[in-house]
Amino acid sequence: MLGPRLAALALVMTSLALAATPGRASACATCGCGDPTRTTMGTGQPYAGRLRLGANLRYRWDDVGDEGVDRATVHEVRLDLAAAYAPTDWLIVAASLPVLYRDVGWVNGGHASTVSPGELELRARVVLLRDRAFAPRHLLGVALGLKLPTGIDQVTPGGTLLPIEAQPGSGTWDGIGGLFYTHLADPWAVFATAQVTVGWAGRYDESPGPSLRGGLALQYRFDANVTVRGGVDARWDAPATIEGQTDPSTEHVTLFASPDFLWSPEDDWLLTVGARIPVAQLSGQGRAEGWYFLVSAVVDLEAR
Amino acid sequence: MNRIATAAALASLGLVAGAALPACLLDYSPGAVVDLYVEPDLGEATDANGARLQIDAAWVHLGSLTLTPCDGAEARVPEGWLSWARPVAHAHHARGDGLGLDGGHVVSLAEETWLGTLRPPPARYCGVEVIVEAATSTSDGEREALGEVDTLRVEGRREGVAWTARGPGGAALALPLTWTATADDPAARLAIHLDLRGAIERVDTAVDDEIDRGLDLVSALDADVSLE
Repeated sequence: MLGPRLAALALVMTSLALAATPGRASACATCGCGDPTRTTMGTGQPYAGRLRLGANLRYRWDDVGDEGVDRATVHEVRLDLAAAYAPTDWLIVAASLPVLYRDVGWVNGGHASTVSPGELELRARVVLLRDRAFAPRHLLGVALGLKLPTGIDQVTPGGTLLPIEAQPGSGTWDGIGGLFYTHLADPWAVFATAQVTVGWAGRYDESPGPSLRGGLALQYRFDANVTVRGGVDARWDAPATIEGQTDPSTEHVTLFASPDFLWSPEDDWLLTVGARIPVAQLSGQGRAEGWYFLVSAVVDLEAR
Repeated sequence: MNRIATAAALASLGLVAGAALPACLLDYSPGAVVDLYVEPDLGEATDANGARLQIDAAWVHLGSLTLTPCDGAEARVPEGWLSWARPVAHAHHARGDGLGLDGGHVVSLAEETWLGTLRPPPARYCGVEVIVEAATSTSDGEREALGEVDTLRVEGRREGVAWTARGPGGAALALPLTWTATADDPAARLAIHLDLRGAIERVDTAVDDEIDRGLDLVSALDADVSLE
């Protein structure tokens, strides 16, 4: 019989083992994976009056297109500044704004490095069902959001718009809707999320299609300071629209292994280090989505 | 509560300050770029039997245009460009066309026509493959001149009498080219000359049916390419 700590280690090791499996498939300019609000908005019971401030730093890379023909390689560092507030014990609202550094290399030897603010996201997380008011074990709810096309167009010195992979966002308005479920059985917890994003009114020649994300994570708290989490995240991107035509080759599916290490150095502070490692990808356009490395810090401020 | 209010104000300020950051292009180089043009080719011509024609208007549909690297083993031409009858398939990054233009383009030979811009990988290129084929519903350019069935349409006068030729048909033109694309050079200009008058010199323009005349011209069509 495995002890709980050994089981938790096995959880993380399983995620890493999944990650060691070679995977290859296809990319987009504005991708992500997993539940981006897991750190900022939390996964458990909202605490009325709590304000959480967070900074999430992420690095990823992405190859799009055929090597030697039309490949673009994107390296991105993204800093999300976020704030989340729970006015009641069933609602959390949040806003986040990224600042992005992008380095794009094209197959023709062209190159662009850009830095700019990205696209503002407003989200709400509503707990609809819980099994009991105090220390609930089961939480079920919905997540709603809106992404605004606040990114600033990146242009060449001659004023020509750079390709979308060098832009700080998709340029679309995105509606976000989803469900979440949390099971809390300290020191264990299970989180499940599903989220769909639908964009409209894009201002670039290319606009991403709807995107569906799902995630399942198992968490184990070693003590008051250290927690580990492992799981899987999946993303399915429907075909993008390019110059008014749907391009089936841009459809993309990725499955990630998602190990996280969480450390709380003192009350109200939480640091997270993690990775999202593509273990399987399906793509019609020779896309190879790379790893995501994540570091985040959040602090909780309680109403007194 | 003051602590909350202060933190909320700071968070709001941070978000607003973040949004107010300028967009900066830290570094940019366009890489190897080549602009593609089709040159005009109207005017007088003499057919294989010595009859004189005045060509007033002509349109040709180019199904695709692809640069051919010298080391053919590494020349991986996208699948969509070889299969010209299929729907348009763009690269994910729409402006990142590498070796060729897809989708088809109806060009008028009355004036110079810009076809598009290629951003090929730095390499030596030894040729250009031009596919001439029937226009489709997704072709760009002056599509109404050819409808969705014709490859070519020519209008003019033969020995003073109105004369037309049109029709489907296809041809693959392999044009020699010597060009080394590098990331540091300024944009190159590549012009395709579709030698319509040369084709007229190789056919009998007295054939009764305009479609037969069109098919003959498509079969006889040749081209050359110049690079600046």
